[in-house]
Amino acid sequence: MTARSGRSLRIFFAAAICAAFAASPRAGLAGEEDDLQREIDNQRVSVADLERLDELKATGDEITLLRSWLDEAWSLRSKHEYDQVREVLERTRKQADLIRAKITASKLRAQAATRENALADVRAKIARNKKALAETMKKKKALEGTEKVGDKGSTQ
Amino acid sequence: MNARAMAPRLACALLPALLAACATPPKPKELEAYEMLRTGNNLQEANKKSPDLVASAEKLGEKSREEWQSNDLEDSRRDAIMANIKLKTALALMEQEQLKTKIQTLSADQAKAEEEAADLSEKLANETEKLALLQKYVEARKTAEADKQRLSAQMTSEQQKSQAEHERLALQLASEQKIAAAQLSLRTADTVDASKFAKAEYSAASDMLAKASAELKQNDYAGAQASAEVAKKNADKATEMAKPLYEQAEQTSQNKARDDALARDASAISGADVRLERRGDLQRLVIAVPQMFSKRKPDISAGQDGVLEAIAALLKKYPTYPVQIIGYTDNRGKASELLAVSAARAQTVYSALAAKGVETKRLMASGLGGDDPRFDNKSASGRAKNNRIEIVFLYH
Repeated sequence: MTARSGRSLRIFFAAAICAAFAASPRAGLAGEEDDLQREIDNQRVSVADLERLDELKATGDEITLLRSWLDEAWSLRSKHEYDQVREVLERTRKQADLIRAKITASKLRAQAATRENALADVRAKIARNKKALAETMKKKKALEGTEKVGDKGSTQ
Repeated sequence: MNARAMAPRLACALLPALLAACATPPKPKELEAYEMLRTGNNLQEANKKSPDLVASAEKLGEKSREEWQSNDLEDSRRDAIMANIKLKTALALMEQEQLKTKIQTLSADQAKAEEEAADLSEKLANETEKLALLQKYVEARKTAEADKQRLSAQMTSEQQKSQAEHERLALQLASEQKIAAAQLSLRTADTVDASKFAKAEYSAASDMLAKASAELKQNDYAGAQASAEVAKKNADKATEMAKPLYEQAEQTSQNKARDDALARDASAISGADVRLERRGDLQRLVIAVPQMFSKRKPDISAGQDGVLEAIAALLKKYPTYPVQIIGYTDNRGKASELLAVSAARAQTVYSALAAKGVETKRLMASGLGGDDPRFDNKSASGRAKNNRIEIVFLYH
């Protein structure tokens, strides 16, 4: 290698490093924005899923709040307030967890209510059957009494 | 205005502003909501289920409180929201847990209750079936009792009917028997020709029998029996009355026929003269056999056996008639001699007939000598014919 070509190579590397240093913050910022946008979009899709999942409409307020926060996150993203966007997105993730927990709880509550109703029905049936049984026994006893009297009458 | 006078006034004016600047700002509503949420009774339970979440929420809540007190309201609000979310999530998870337990309990209770209900249903079904059977039994028993009573009444009625019918039939039978007996008596009366020999009784019996039959047709059994009895009595009486008359007539008729037959058979004997005579009630069939003996002798002449044989056969054929064997002579000689000869001759014939198997107890032998000559003794032929034996059949 000649001294001239070695100097040129050094200049090229130096220029490349300078260019890389100059371009990296702008490229990093663009990637973060996209990530946040993807995250927001994903969460919006998740909200729709959650709404479908909430058959009993138990989390209407929470979902409204979640949507408003996602809108807020979107707004902050547009203002390039990425730290705040991340903060809001963290909150929306937790809110989604809360909504899932509440939906599960509401379903379980409904299930429990169904079971309670079923149990109440069975207990009502038991009560009816007990009453019917008591009446049947009473009638039977009365008939047996009549029959015994009849027997005595017929033997006499 | 001097500075001394201005100082209190300035202090009064600045103090509220200073106090306002030092005072805590209003608590964010998010923090208030979180604290309200914390006051619930379920915090301990939530902490047991999700200690990390509750601890994180508590930490954020504390931080929010501090931030609020530091007047860092925005951060306080943000942390309070996060604390709220976490605590609510913990509470929701706790509720899930409680609900799962509740569902399990309910499931167990329901299973137990269903088992109890099934047992009870089975018991109820059994008891209902028993009750139905018992009701059916009681109904059947009632029906059977009613049937029994009805049948008993029906049987009694049938028995009474049957008894009445039996009695009626017995009466009818008795009446028919009595009528039959009367008819038999009447038929018996007919056999002795009672309509002729006991006309009044027979007619009365016939009338009473007709009356009895009519009464029987009208089911007047007592009347029929009485009439039949009277008819029978009358018929019996008619029979009783008619019988001797009938028998007598019958006997007469028979005797006449026999007498006629005897006369016919006697006429058929060759060498004998047959005549009929009536002496009072008596009829006499006289078979006169002339020239059976030699002159003045009691012995039977040869060649007379055929006539004797025929007479013996006739006597055997008609065994009921009493028979006289009478010997006769002509009128020449002493009467006593003639009588003796004729008697001897009669005896000879008697013996000859006895020898031929004729029963002798119905035979009477006698001699009348020259009495009752049938021919003229003046002529030899007349005298010969007067020497005769007469076999006389006697009857009424």
